[in-house]
Amino acid sequence: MDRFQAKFVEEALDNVSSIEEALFELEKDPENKEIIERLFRSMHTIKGGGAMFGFNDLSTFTHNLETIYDLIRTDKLKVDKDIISLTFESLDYIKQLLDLGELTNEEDIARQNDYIARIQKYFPEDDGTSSRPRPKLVAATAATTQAEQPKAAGAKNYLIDFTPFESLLNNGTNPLFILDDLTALGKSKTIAFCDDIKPFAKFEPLVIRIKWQVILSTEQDVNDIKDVFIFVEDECKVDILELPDGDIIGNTDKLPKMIDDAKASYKFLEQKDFEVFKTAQPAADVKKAAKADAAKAQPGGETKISSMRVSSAKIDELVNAVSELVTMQAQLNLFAVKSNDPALQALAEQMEKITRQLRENSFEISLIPLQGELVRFQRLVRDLCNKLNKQMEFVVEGGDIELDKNIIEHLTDPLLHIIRNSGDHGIEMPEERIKKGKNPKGTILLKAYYSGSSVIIKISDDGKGMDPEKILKKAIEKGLVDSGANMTKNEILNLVFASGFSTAEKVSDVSGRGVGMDVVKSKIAEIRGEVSIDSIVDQGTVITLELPLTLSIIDGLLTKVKDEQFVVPLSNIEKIVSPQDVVFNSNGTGSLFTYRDEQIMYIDICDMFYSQKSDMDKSKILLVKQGEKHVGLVVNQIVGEYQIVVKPLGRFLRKLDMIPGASVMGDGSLSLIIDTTRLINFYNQKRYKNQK
Amino acid sequence: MEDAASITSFKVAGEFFCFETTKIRHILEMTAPTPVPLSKDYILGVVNNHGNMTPVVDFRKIIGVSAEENLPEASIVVVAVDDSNESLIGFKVDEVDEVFATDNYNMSPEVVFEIDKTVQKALCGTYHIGEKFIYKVNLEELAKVIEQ
Repeated sequence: MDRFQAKFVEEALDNVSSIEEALFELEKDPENKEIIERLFRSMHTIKGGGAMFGFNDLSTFTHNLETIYDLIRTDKLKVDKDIISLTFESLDYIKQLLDLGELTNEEDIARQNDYIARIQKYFPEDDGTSSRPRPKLVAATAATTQAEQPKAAGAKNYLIDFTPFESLLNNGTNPLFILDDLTALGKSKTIAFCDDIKPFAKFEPLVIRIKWQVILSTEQDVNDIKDVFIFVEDECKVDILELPDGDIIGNTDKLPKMIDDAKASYKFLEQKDFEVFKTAQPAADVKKAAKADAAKAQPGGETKISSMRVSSAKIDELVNAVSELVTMQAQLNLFAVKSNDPALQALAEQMEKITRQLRENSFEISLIPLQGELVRFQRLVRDLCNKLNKQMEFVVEGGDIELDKNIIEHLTDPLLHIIRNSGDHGIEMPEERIKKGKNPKGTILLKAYYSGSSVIIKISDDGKGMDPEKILKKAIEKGLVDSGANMTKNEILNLVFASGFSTAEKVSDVSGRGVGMDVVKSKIAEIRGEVSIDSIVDQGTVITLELPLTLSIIDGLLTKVKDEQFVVPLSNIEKIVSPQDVVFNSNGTGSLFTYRDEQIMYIDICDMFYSQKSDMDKSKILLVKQGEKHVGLVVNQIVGEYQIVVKPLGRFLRKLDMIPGASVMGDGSLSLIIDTTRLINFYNQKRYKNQK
Repeated sequence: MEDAASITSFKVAGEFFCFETTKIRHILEMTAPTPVPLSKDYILGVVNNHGNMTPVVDFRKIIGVSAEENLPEASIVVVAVDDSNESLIGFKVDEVDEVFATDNYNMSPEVVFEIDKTVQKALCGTYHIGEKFIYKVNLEELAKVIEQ
């Protein structure tokens, strides 16, 4: 059962976030019936699942919450800000409940009752729902309750065909509970068709081969019957047919024989079989509607699954296997070309096409949209507003772009930090904003878009911005820079990423503990991303994250240093120049050259790696951008451009961070990948040490 | 099936050492690793071990014995220190020796073989099996040394 509970929790959390998403929409558009309906359905799913998987307190709580939305959707209650706030709070509580499971200690139970009492304030006084869950819940969850006898006048007769698919048991559904729920709706007769069951020797404990027919006489609506099947919609075929009115179930002369006949012939009873009971005109409209609805839910009796849940470990494995296939394929190609066998070459070519397709597909599978992560930021900004008494709006542009899941995992914390900073320190209090002639409501804009092989995420606010002079003063105080330093505005702004730097004047509950932007920078660097900042006083601050699309495949330039192969990510390289095109500065000790009037520091990689000076005449210089400046990297040969699969070197070489990985080349050889930023930093540190 | 109480011994510079058999993932034929510049001198480089880039340590060098090129039986013993792919590491050894079930043997805590102090800690005991004295290598300790 634990496995099913875990699955339920996962799905419930999904539902919670879709409720959150819907709430934000509802806040903007309180009259929208479609949103309310969606909210209601998600809550209903949590409630039902909770009861089914042993989260009874969760179920009771959600039931109360759902009741509010039931009142709203039936126009008995109007959406207002308090209800939305209460719902948000309740969602937090639901998350806690998912964590806690059943409540055992009294404190928790008292807290739950408090919450429920707050929710029930919204219930109309005379509704009879004030202290206890409505009878409907009892009917839906506690199947043991025997429903009262239906009055002959109001009751309608239905014939329900319930054919579970073989996989019904896989998600933990007990069909008997469904039947209990169904029969609790009124008076009933249930017929089980067991003809398909295999002999005991061939018994399959996980496969269900029984189907049922229920003749039900109930006052409840067709929709209530459908609700019973709400969690198994995709795992069974359900037909609800209306039967003639009258006391069919009480009939002792024709009905028992009909049932026996049906069992003997293993055939479902049909609607027309019941015409013998006809005493009045059947309500044709209802019948049609019920049929149409059933057909809509089950087109042709087949279920269509548009997406599915796969464990991320499985996807990692797939991507790994495919990337190995890609390298094997490259080796096969080389072999085929050498062999001069046209048949083999044709096969290799075909293989290559499929491999490429496979690689693209599996790569796409491992991408997930950013949107899913953004709801929590929306939530964060909303909470900040209440806490700080500010007015802010969180706007997202381009939330549908997709990123490698490993990148998204690493992105949440930094984004949380940045947005929190914007809300706490960036956006001013409403009065202050009015004084400055701004809209009292501040805006935090998150904009995401593709740029070449990277994804750019910009978080901008229209708050008070950052004052370079203040930052410089602070940095000098903290001893991060020398007091006489001559720095550009950009360099000063980037000081906020230095370790131990926090510009917050007071340490607040929300942010400003002296750690912050430096953590953001190192977190983003871990996923090979870059952070930069720009700010104008009283206009706002923009923080730009530049991220790779994926961590596993890059476009690289294959070079040789001495005789070893190294790959430099193409995205880092601005230009390749020949040593003949530059003027080396002969004076001085630093390694500098002049190219197009710019003084550029250069690093001879061969010298750095193997303490062996390169023959400049035969080498090439890669110009890479490091901050605002260029740096030249001298390599001995350029082989060409390749798309390569990056493989990390594991924990034992992690300290050597300028070589973050290696790649298997087409011929089976390995080449190491160079992280230019880290290589240059390493070089500078070494040079700095040597100077001392 | 090897259970936890089993060791795999190997020979380096005339001495016998062993790892717990359960830690061993592969034993690869000796191939030339791709050297990694600026890494420690006992790291020979990385090899492609079924799609994982695995660093290879020269066991001779790490225990302070001079490297030997001409070893016809040399192999790379790939171990997973903490069972993750991240912690895969290969050791170049002169020769892989035998697998012993250790139920019948006691390990004595003394190690008479003296090497560099930092690495010494990684030798945690000695098995006396037949004529052989086999030094048990504590991989976690050795991993700490390499990781530094």
